[in-house]
Amino acid sequence: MRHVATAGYVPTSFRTLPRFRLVRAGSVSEAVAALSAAETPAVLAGGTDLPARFNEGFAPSDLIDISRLDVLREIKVQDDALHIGAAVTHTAGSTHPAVHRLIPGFALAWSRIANVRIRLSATLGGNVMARRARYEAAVLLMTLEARLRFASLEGEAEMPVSAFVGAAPVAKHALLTSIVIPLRPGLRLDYDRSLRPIVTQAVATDATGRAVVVTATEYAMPQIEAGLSLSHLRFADPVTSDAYLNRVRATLLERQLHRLGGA
Amino acid sequence: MTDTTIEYDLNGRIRTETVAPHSMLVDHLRDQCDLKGAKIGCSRGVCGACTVLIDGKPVASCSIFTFQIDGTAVLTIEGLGVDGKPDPVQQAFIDSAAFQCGYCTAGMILLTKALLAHNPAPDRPEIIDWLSSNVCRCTGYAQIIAAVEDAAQRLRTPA
Repeated sequence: MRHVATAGYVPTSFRTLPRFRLVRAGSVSEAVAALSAAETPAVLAGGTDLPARFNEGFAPSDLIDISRLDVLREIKVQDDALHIGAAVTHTAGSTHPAVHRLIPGFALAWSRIANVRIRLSATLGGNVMARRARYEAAVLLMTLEARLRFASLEGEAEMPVSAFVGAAPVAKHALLTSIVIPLRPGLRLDYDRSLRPIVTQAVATDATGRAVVVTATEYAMPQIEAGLSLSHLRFADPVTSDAYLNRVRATLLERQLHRLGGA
Repeated sequence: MTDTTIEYDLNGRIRTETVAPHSMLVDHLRDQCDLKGAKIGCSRGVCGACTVLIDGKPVASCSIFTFQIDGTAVLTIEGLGVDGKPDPVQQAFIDSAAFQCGYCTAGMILLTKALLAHNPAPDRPEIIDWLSSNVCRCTGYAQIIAAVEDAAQRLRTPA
């Protein structure tokens, strides 16, 4: 049984929030230095996920505010890849002309994350870094075989989203600066979800016939599968059986391939 | 752990204050500014009862630290209306009976202000898309949608 006071069910307010040291970063290097110096850092960009984490008992020693770093809000195409700044909001990113032109299915799916009010503030980077099973950005980005670019005192480093979502340890002193999506010829994405219990699934195809399918549930982190011949996956979802989840996957895939034009 | 000094516009008046870094805006508005219109509901940015407008953008004030409003213009439900006369959106909600208990109403009205600033003539799917940001547990959505449509009409054809 979960203890009510720490289960996240009781709203937290100023009266109960733990104090922390506030660092309002003026540059990426300032943010990285603050992250490195902090014992238990938290990063604030859109800020829409952080209150929930406080409700769940998170008590950072330092809050590093990166919301004023315009460099993290850039979107550009470079070296056959779409580079999306970590602090690009869902609204700004999903309505950006380059995103629409290059991967319209991604723009459409991105525009349906959460609700209007949250999309205006919440960021793509925050959605991924929250590492919550029910958050959709990781599903979409894994399908596109995207990489996360981090900055730390040691320099820049990249990690596939799939590795980040999996078991790989994450350096808490590194700052996510951008998401890099490789642009393959004919790249297309379709995204769908079932009614509750929620299954979310994204499919990407390209001109070579390469296909990637990523599925997540409300409680199970995303799983990636290459090709369209779905195998039986084990989700370890505490609510829904693997048999049901795999049937839903197949149903969703049929719909998705129809929308993708029988790819 | 030092406090920080902020300057911002609250309902048309400039304020300069020193706030604790962990102060949440909804508590600041209710306790320090004595503005009780923003209601505390879920306290995790989901229900929208605490919605205020920051530079015209709807934001859950339970999910934003007070220091983040430094240099911005904040509009709460108390800042709507002039000389005791309700704002057209408020009047539309009154005339459409778009509330029962009223707990969500301030947030719904401010969300509507933001929607109509974004698009003065939204169609019904867009209204529903925006209103899905906020929750009404009295299930009065039909009247709320009617009120938004009425407000849009009033703002396009002022009396």
